[in-house]
Amino acid sequence: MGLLDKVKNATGLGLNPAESYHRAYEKGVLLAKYSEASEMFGKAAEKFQEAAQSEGVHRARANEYLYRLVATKDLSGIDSILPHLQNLQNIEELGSESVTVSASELATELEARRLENAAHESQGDWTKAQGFHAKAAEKFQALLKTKLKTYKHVPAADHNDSVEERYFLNQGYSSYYQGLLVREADPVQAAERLSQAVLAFKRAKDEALRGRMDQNLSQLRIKRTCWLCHREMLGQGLNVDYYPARITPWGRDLVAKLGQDVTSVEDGSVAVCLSCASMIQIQADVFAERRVNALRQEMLPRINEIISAVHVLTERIAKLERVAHHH
Amino acid sequence: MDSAEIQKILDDLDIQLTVGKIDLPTYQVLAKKWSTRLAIGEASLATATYAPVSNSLTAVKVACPNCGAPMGEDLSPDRRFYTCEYCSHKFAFEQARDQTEQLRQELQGWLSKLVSGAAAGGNAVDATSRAFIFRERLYPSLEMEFNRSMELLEGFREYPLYQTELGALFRGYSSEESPLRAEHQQLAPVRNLTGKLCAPAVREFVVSAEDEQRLAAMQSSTMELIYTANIMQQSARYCAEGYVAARQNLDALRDLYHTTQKRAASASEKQFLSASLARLESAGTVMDVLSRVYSSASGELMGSAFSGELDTAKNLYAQALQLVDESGYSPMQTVPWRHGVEKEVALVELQTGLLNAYDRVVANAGGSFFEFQSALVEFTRQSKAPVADPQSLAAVADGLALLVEARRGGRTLPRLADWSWLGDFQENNRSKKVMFLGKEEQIESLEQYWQPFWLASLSFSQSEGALFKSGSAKQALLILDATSPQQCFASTVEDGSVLNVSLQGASKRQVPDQRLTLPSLVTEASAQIILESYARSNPVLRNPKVTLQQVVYLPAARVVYKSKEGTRVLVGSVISSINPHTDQLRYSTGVFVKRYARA
Repeated sequence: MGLLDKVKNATGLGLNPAESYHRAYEKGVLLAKYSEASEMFGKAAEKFQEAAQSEGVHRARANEYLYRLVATKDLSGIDSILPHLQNLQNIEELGSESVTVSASELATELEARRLENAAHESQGDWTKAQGFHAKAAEKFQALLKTKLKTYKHVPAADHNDSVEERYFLNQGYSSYYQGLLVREADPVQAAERLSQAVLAFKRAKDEALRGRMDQNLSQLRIKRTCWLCHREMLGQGLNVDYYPARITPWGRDLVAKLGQDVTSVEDGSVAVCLSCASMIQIQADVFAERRVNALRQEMLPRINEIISAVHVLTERIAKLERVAHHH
Repeated sequence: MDSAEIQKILDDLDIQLTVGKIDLPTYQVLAKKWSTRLAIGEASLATATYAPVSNSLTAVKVACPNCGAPMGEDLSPDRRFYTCEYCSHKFAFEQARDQTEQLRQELQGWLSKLVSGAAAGGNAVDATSRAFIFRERLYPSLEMEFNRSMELLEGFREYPLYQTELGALFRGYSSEESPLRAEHQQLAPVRNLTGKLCAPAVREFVVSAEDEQRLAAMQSSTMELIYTANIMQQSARYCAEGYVAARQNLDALRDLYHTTQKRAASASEKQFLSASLARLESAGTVMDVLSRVYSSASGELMGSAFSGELDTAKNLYAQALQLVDESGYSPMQTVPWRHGVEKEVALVELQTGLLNAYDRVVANAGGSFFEFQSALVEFTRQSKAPVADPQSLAAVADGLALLVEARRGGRTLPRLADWSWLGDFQENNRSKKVMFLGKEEQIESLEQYWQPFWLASLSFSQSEGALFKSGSAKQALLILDATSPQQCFASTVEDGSVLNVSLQGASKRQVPDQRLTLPSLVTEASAQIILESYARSNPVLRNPKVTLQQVVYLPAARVVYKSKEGTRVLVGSVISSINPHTDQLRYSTGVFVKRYARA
């Protein structure tokens, strides 16, 4: 390469579209300067545009936005990449100029990432989060025989190694949110959904999430007889819970002798269903508030008297201080 | 049941309402139900409605005092001792009699509390009242007892049905951890409950087919627990008798599933039970194989003789898993069940791997399978090889078998057979006196061996040029010491270097010499992760991409230098990044290979 060529390559001036495109690799991608690479692909795209080479335009634009995504890790940039990928058969693998991958597979992976991101941002809205995770799982399912293409350069919080893990991770979250959505109306169905989440997280090799689901599931499957209304309630922590109470060994034995639910009595607590417990709590709050108001009414005149006395004393002290100061 | 009988029930209801035995809402519900039946001529009441009342209503069926399984024969005072065919428990006649009596009394107490005034079934109370009592009092009490008993035991489906000797070394694969064994005391209430469910006094109150179904489902679940607990316990004895007894329980479980399947209301439950039956058939095959393996007094076997049966078992497991996936049955049942079956598949694969490796290591020399298993366990203990699951133990067994075969000359290994570096290595690292200063070392000992390394190709980009910097794509080799799963010993070998060329040549397979060859302890998946992480941590290697190739064996040497000040050990190879801490691995591999490669 002559000096002039070197100068052209260094400045980017006077290069044809293909040279400009190649320069984005030499001066950007291969030096791991992804932000600069993105800009150089953008300039190459303009040159392809001027030369009316539409495939070159799409390829350069797709890479411009892809490397912007790599540089910024901002997943909202995916929307800009997808229209260009749809016009390509294949595209260079991230980080390489010579190895190519299927553009449609890359697009599907990016769509899945967009859905994952939307699910992450909708954690408070279980219906939306469930829907996004289910759709993301569908996308990954279509890619099960391929390798992940963007997660090495733009890693997620975890599970960056295989499509399979991401597929099961999203499936697990989808089942988990389904469980949350139905648990108040139907704890049995919720438990079924959590069971599916357990299996999915196990296959995603995520023992922490699997353990969490297992714990939720075992709580949800527990049945206890309410100490007050004697109804058999399903779902500890949801429909029934333990509340502090005093019970003697004799009382405990009595429960057993009567053939009643001995598990509704634990050390210093008894199982009470949500309705009974909340009814008592709400009524207790009402009584407490009423008592507080009554006490306030009773004490208010006396408090006002004390406040007046304090005011008077404060004024007298201030006066005394002023006199002392003059002397 | 004919129309006259239904009409009689309706008349009875009228009387009961009149004398205040039942309230109006109950009357209305029951009268409507029976009138409908009368109208459509339905006759589906259980035959038990008018069954003659036994004199001993509170009799309970004789069961083994240990496991609660039903006795195949009636107890007789003429015979002093019995052995349970399901749990092999030996017990005296008096023990079974006392336990049966205790259960009978408990049942009587429970019934009198719940059915006081109703004269505990029989003809004294008509069918409608009996049905009412069953639904309102007996069933809720039985259901609560059932639910509470199942609560702690429910997780048993996560575990394999049976245990194998080496499989039990791993977490999640040992039945000791299963709630059926860990919470063994919880089986006592299950046994009592089974007694109640079978008792004629309780059956007397079961009038409708629907109630019969509910009771049968409960009974089926409790019996399933009893047989499964026996399978786990018996298979954990690791003897032919234990596996035969486990098989006996599997057969009983199969009969139970067949009966339950006939009764199953939904197609999905029927299919789940078909999957469970396929699993039992598979487990039965494994029990048969293990009972034959363990019936060999000498332990000398032909491992390959069992491979066909174990392959059949694996195929049946695959069928069972497919059936369950397509069943659409409740995931609460199918998911833990699946986990249990997957573990059984892993146990079968381990057993197949062990038998296969055993055949290869003993070859013509002969030797006991049980001694081979012990030697393998001893190797993992001494070498501290990371075996976290049955798959990794099978891989270690396979790796050791490969080394033994190679030592015998029956297998080739990819090696870099170049010891030319050794002389310089020894001499250059030896301390010498210079002008009467320093220390003079002598070589006390030299040990040469072959160390396994994972070889991978690496593509990456690199910055080039001083004034006009640009990036270019590069190739290199990555090499990772395969004897160290915990600590990473990796290095990059540049393209075009002498070593790179030599390593490319090392892919040629050669028959090793008599020097010790160490086994690879790093799996392919682990090697990929470690090398990717290594490449990414190196800032010079931009855009790295690692493609794993194979394990190659490189020459390694342990030199002991001696001087007046003591001894010093140095380990070297053709590459600098090598795991020097292989003392235990060399020792344990040496012991294993020496033992089996002598033929």
